[in-house]
Amino acid sequence: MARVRKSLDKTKQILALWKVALYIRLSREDGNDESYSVKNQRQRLKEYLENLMLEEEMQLVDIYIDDGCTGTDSDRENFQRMLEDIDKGIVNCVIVKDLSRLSRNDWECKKYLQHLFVVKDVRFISLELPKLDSYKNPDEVYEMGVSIQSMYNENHCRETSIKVRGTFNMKRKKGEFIGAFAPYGYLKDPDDKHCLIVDNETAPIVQDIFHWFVRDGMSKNGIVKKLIGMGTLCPAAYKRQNGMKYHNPAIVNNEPLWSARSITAILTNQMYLGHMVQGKQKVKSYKVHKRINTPESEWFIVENTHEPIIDKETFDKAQGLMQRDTRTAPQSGQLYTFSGFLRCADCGKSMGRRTSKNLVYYACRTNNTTGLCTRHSIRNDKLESIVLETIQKQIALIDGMAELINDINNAPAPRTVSKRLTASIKLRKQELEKISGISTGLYVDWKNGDITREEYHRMKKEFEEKEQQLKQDIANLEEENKDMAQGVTSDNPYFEAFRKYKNICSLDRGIVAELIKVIHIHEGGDVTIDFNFADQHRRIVEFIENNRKELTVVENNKVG
Amino acid sequence: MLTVKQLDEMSQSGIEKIDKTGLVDIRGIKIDTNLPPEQRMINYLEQVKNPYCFLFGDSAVRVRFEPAGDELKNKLKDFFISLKKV
Repeated sequence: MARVRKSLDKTKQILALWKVALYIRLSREDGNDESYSVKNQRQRLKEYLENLMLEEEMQLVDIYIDDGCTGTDSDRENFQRMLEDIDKGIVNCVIVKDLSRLSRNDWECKKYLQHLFVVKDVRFISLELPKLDSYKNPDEVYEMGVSIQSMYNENHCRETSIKVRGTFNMKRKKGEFIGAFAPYGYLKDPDDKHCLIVDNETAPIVQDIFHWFVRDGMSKNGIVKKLIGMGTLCPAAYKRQNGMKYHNPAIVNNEPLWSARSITAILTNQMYLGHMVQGKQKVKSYKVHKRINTPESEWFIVENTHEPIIDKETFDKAQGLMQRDTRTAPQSGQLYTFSGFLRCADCGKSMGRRTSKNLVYYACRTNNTTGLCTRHSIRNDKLESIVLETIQKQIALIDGMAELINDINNAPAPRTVSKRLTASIKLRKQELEKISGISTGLYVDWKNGDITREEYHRMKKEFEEKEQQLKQDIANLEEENKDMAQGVTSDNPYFEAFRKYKNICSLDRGIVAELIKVIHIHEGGDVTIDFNFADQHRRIVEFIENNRKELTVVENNKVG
Repeated sequence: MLTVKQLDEMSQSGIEKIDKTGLVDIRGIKIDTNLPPEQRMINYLEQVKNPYCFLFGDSAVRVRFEPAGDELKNKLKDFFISLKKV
């Protein structure tokens, strides 16, 4: 008997005090309906609670607000916090303005209303649509009207989704930009947010990234290191610095950095060609917000909608290089001259690089891994000599060398690096000065009692770290600028040698990538080189055959 | 002098079928860049015998070109211009 009485007492105690959570949610799907504003919801809920307090013992625990969150799923920060508080027993009464605030997902809405809240003894109150109080009328939550309202709430989302998707697709088809943020290198036109304009600050960095990858043979990780070393802000950090409301849950660290993935994203983005490419991803459905990649055939591509940053040739070259199977030596950041260009002539697999007794060899990877092919071994220095000699002969045969060098000399430089470097250095020096100033002022703040000793030490440490970082960035940029100062007068040393000898004197990855498609290595050290330029022997012989008469006359006149 | 027809035939044969004894070592070939391009090509073809297959030491080297590709001169121009920066 005693046991029964005890449990009765306990029930009484739980019911005696309602620990209330007011839940408020507002999303774009609710449109501009004033009654849904956070302010209005708060006011109505508070008013209701105050009235209820006159009759029952209620205590407000917290107001949980999700502003700008859709109700189609439960991935809402404060909603989750409220569920946790229910779980902990801190909350046992939830009040919302209407049922759609709880959820606009029919299935989830019923899960909470008809199951979770019942199991956890949570009192659920909805002021309207439909008016509910699960404590006063426990059976009400199972009524058909509630189910129908819940289905209606969900259908509202479905309809909005169809309407919005239709409008978005129309804009995408017309080549109007509808993203939240312009791709790195561009800005949204302040006069027309559906248009893109070149961002003079970041576009040169995009050009640098392409250049380093295509011409300098740098690996993606090498580019990442260089950008970080120069103190260049990555796209996420750049958005934040410019006051854009950018939130990415994947960035846990406060200072996001460049990564190989961001480089890949830039190198493959056709937007830089001046084409509007949208719809590369979509959500699984209006209820499941997981983003998935769409096949290229479903993308919305409208050509020439804005100013290109990268020319088509460079872009295509970057795509070609990315297809190649390459790896970089640890710590080097630079690809080997032939990385991704060598294939076994028999099995077609790429060749592996081996070092033995300080000599570098390439050998068939199939042979190495499965033994199914033969070795096809060739020494790196010999291969380099073969390729260099072959290219040199081809260059010696071209006509109009003087004209070619002239053209190169007179062409405007495609990249303006030094101006940007100088501006970058100046900006960082100003920042350094500012930080040094604040750092000095800290001591005074502490002495005046404006900040505590702990705050002083923590802030001092932070500023010192920042100062150190800035000094390092400035040193890196000045080093880069020093190379540039030489570059302005004599251009590039590789071109200098070309100008002097009218031919290339050594091989580098850039020239290999420019001229060669693939090199096949045969067993026994024979080599097949596939160039990606046209056959000049045939062209000139054809010319001679067609103009034999005129050429003979010229020859005879010369002799005469 | 080699004809276009002969060149086409040469460019189409595979490396496996070629008898190395008949091949010329490319390192021994001199190209006088002062000559006009046509004459330069004639001299080169006379020396190399087969411009698509030659020797480098004991290695046979075969070269293939891209019929739809740009001219080498333009490729070089693009490459060196891209190195320029101010």
